[in-house]
Amino acid sequence: MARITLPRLNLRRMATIVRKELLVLLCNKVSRMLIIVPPLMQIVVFGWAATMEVRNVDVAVLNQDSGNWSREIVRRLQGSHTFRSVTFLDGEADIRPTIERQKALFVMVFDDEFSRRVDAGAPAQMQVILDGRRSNAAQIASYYLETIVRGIGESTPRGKMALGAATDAGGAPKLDVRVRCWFNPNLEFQWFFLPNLIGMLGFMLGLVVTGLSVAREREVGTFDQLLVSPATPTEIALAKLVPGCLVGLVHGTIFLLISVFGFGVPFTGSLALLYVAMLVFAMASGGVGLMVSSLSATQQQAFLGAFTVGVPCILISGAVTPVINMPPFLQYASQLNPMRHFTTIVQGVFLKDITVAAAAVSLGKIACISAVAVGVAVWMFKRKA
Amino acid sequence: MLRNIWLRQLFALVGKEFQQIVRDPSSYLVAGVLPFIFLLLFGYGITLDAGVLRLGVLNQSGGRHSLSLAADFAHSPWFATRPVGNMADAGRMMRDSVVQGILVIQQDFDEQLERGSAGAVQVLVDGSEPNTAQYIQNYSQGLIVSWQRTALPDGVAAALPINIQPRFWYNPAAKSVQFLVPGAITVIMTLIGTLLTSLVFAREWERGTMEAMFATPVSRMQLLLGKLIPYFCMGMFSMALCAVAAVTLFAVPFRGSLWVLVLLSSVFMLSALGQGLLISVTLRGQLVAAEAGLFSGFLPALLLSGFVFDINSMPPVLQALTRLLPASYFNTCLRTIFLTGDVWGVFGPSLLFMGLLASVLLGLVYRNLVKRLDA
Repeated sequence: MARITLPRLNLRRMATIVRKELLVLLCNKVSRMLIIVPPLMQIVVFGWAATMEVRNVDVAVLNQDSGNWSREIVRRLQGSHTFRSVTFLDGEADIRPTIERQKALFVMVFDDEFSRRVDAGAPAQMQVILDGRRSNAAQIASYYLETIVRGIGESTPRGKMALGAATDAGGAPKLDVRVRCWFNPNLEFQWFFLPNLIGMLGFMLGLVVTGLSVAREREVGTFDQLLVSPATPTEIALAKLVPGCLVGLVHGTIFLLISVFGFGVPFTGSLALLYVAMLVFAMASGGVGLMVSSLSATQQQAFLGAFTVGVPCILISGAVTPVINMPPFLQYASQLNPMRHFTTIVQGVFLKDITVAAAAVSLGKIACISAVAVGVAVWMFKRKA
Repeated sequence: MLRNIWLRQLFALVGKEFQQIVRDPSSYLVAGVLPFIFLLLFGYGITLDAGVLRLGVLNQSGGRHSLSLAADFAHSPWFATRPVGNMADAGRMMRDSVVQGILVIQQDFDEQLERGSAGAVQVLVDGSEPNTAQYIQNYSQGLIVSWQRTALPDGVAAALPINIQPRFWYNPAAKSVQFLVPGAITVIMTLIGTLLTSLVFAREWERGTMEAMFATPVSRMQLLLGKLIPYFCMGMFSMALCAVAAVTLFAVPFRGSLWVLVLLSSVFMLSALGQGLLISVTLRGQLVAAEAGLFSGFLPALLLSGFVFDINSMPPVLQALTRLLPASYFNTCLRTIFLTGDVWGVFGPSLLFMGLLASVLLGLVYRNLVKRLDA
């Protein structure tokens, strides 16, 4: 049934179908609104929402110490931008409800010996109880706290002594450690997430727009009309891919502009490379969408199918958390995921001015996936037709 | 007698809806397969923990101290190190994500230390993945400080005077899977509640069976309950599946009580169903209803519920938005009931809000469910 001869395509007939598809997509007021407004809303909302930085932290203190040092730590904490409020607790019994009800991300406990020990140069302990339900945020906040406490520690008598031991006669430290972050010096989370959002939303749009169009025709009954038209099934299938790709490219462009001009994400690489990647990637997502819709009888099935394929692809693409931290079988599986390779390119093009060789490898992989997806989709489409 | 007929009509509707669910393969996909795939992906695929970080070591010194520092990094469980020949190689490896960071020990490192002055070390970090970058920063600094204490003369005295003793309650190892799995359940429940139901009335409108329904003596309330009950049962079934999987597969503790979990899930399910049904009666087209469900239900639940991104760190406008999102309340409740226990200070306000929202949404559905074609 599937001959390996290249089918002859009549471009004029295909153009007519593309035109009809675009009319269906854009002339319905609701569907027009739905492919324009929500994606834009998403990029703005999630551009702000998605942050791994920790801010506005609420803290509570149980201070049984009457000395200066604990008060000094609290004072520095209040002065820091990371911390929003400091609540003072009256007794140990207050700790549990404060953490339980999430009134504070962590509670610091100073015992009554704290300042005396610091003054005497003995090692002093402070206890910090953190909310494990938000352990990631708590961990990051505790790094900030550590920095503050280290700074104060250095100004205590023992700290000065320790500093003396760690410095040479001239007062310079014996070890000069410098940490620098490349590509994203202030570790802005948006710089990571916004470029990835281009891939995420583009993938979902390509999948859904292409996937639903065939299922809709089948459900409404116009699919048979399409089949008796002069266009061959291959032409119909390929023409169905175009609107999804176009929507994907237009949105990609808008996202690119918003990321760069709205959120100040640097764009260091080649624009041409990004567009080639976006085009090939849009073909891949459309191909997968067409495959899903060939398998489904109704729009509901097509939509849910697109969803079942799309969301896992997004989650294991490295666009949310790094692929390298996933278990090996997922890392291998993600090689088949066009979204993963697109994420590599987008990240590289935006932040790292990726080398051509590295980009070519990823691009080649997307192209392969895309060719297979479109080929299989057209074959399935013809079989069903 | 009349009451009896009312109930019989309702049962007939519920039965019809159940049959439709059972005969449609896509509902198995949503109620059974999807929750499972999602839990596995969220549980195994997404992690906010550091993992083993790949670090290139560019040792330009080669002396005694530099080798001992490099060995400390190599033996650390946090890092997988590999030697790097020169700076150009290092730059290329960072660019192509072969390594996530580079430790550069300067040429005169040993010489300076022998002379008693400062030896220079540089840690270059790939900032394009900020969460990972932060781990590399903190771990490498900690490692260098502890190396200094043991390897250098006078190092012991350099210990700082104040020690912080951190303790994570409810999640002592601070594993992200412990709070991500309850969050994943929130996303799955939103998916079933909102996405699946956004299609139900729209489908009947599109296929014209809504008209047939109008011709029957079925009342609006029966119509509403006929849709609500089957999907509610389906949602609760998935919830049970998820909860069992969370405890058995991912070893998430369950410290609350079962009836509270059932109560919380029921109330949340009603608000999610209300949202889905409202979309369905208002938009009347499957395609647009599905997209609306996706954008108003699933994506906010994924990104704004505090599931991955902490709500407190968002700008005030968005924080206010999350207060209107039932998923953000449910997420907090689930984390609490799994990890902490029954904390009514958390559950009370959440139940109140979710219940209120559910009644408003279902009320609106009832109002918009007019048995007329021209409405």
